[in-house]
Amino acid sequence: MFKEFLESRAFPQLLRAFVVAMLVSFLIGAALFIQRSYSQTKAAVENTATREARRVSLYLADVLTDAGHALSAITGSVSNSKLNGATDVTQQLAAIVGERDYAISAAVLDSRGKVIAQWARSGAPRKTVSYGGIVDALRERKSRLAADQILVSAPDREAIDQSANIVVSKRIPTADGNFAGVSLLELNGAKLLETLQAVSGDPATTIAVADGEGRLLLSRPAAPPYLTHYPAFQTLPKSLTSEVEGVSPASTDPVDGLARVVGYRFEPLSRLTTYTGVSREQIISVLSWQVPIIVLLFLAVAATVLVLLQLMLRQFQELREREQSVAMSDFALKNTAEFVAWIEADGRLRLANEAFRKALGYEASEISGLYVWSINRETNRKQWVALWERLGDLGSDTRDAKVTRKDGSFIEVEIVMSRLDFRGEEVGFMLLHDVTERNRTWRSLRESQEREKVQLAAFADHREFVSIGMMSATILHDIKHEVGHAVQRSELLKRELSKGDSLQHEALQRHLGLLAHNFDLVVALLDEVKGRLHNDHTRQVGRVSLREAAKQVQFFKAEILSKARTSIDVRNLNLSVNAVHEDVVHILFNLVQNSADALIAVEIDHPSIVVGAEQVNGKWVRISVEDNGCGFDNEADAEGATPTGSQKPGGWGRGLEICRWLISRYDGAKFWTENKAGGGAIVHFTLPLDETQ
Amino acid sequence: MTNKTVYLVDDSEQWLETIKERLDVEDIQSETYLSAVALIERLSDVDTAALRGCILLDMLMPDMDGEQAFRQLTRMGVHIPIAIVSSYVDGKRTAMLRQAGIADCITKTDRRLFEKINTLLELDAANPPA
Repeated sequence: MFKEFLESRAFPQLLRAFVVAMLVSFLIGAALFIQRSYSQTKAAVENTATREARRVSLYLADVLTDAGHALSAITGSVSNSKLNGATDVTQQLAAIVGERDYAISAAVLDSRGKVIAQWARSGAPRKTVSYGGIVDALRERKSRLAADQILVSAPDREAIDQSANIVVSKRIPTADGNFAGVSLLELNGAKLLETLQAVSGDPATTIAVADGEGRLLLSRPAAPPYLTHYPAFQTLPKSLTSEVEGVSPASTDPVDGLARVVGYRFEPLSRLTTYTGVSREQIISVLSWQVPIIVLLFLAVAATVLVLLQLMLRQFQELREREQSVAMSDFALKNTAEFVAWIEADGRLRLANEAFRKALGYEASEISGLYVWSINRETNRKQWVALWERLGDLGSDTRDAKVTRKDGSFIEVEIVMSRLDFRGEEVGFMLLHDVTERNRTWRSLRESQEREKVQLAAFADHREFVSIGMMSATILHDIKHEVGHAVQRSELLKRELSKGDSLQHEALQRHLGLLAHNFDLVVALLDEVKGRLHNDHTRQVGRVSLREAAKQVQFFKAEILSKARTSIDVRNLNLSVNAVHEDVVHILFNLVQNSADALIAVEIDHPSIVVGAEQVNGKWVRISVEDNGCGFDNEADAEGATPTGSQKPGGWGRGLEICRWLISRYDGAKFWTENKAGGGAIVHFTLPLDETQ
Repeated sequence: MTNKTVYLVDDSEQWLETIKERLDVEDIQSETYLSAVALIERLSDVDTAALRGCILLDMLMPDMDGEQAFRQLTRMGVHIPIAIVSSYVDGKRTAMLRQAGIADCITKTDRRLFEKINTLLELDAANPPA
């Protein structure tokens, strides 16, 4: 079951779907994890900053209950602590106090406790204006503080009026007992920002606290969590006045200065794990490499998914094509006209297609009971075993055989046998192709070829005969020349004889001598023709099929017929004649040649050559060669009296002469020509009918 | 050269002899040539426009046949009637040659050969050179 599932088409698809689902899940999980980590880190950083700020604020609030320390710390570390007495000293001090309702007044006293300057918020109660009141009030609220510890020193009132620097410092009592002080009601850590801004003199100032290495420790407003170095810090004043006691004059680091003053050194950021549980490395990793990693991971996963999808698509297409191919193969095997069968290793037929069953006359249920040797009686079980082994080596085997039908009849087939490995099982595949018709055609072709050989051999003799005929025509030309000569000479002889008394014997003798010479030549030429014909050993009178003769002519005149854009149209050529085969072929050969030449000369639309035959008087066959060429130009030729010309341009009528001469060798045979009414020529000749047919 | 002359061209010497003899009997001046090339050479130096008479060319000759000779003579400006004499005469060919300007085609066996020669001479007389 599981194996089937593994081999099924669904398995690879499910497997791929599972892999893809896993990858997608991983991608989503990674994204969520990173998002959560980032959020946690961000929250932790922000929380840490907030808590640290609160802690610092609270600490400062606590510490700065020692107002002298606090004010010194603030002014010494964050600003130049320039309190401009001429302008807003009251406001600044009130701001430092953080409670404006309480910070209603401030005073600067000389070393003897004398108020040299005091500021009061308009509308504020003036009860605390006097030094004593201040001290009293202070002592009342912060009893643990010593009055001499709350001091603002100033050289004198003029210095304040002249906007000189007023340096607030922790006052250490001197031997002469002089001191100065200022009333600070409260310095609340929660108001630190405002306080510091007020001290710095610029409400827009961002307050930052950093350690000695510039690492941001605290800022107001809160810096972003990824900001580890605060550039604005560089703009903060870095100088401490030498008047700040308790603070190293050499220190230019306000944070250090603040730390020194307040007695508290801020923890480095690495210690923040104490509060957040998140390490610095984690924070850095989240903020530095995780984002690009997320992008790269996303791209990688996206590319992988795309490649997988493409592979899946391609495999799906291949699967579809394979399914279609299998379906088509199955369809083809079932419906093909070829006979197909599957065979077991032991020679038993397992399956066969419908064509196979129909051809051999078996039902489907009978196939499994058949063996190879049941249908091919030319083999047996032993031979099958040998063939099966040979198929194992060669793969396939092709042979012609006769298979036996159920009714005992035979079919000639070509068998292609293959031995295949089908899912681990060795089976045979047998393809039978009915070659009955093919074999019949081959046999017919072989017979035709044999016949052709005989005909070609005969035609060789025929060509020899043609050569004799052409020679005869040449001789005939010479005979005509001599006869013409004799005719003209005889005219001279007649003229000589007509002279009567004045007849000159000498001239007469010469004419007669030349005439006799001419006739001797003619006789000699005729003897030569006779001798040649006497030596013609190819003549054998017998049954000649006009159709076969016409076919031979068609074969040997194919080229000229092609030039004439026609072929021989055979009509009623089932008759046979009793003649010399070569004579018939030769006559048709010449006549078809003439017709083709005539057709080439006139270039008509539908050139045609018709060879027909009909029986005449029960003993003769009249054969006609007809064309629609230029016809006979010579009326005498057309009338068939003594055809001396031809119907083709450039010819000298020897073809017709030869034909006539050949026909004349058959007693009673005729040869004549005529022009067709619509154009073209017809040549007729008769030959004896073969009465054996 | 201004007298009427029958120019006979044939590769058969006997034939030329017979015809010339016959023409002599008839008091017709004639010249014989065993090839068309010989006649052409003969006429190449004369004023062809002044020629009178006719020319008889055998059709089948070794070097130059009658038709080729006729065309060459025509190109030379020979205007007197030219006839073809042959053992065979093809009607179609006759028509073509007539169309090209041949005066007549005569078979050697024709008993009216001399009548036809006379006809050619009359034809020449009827068309004197301009």
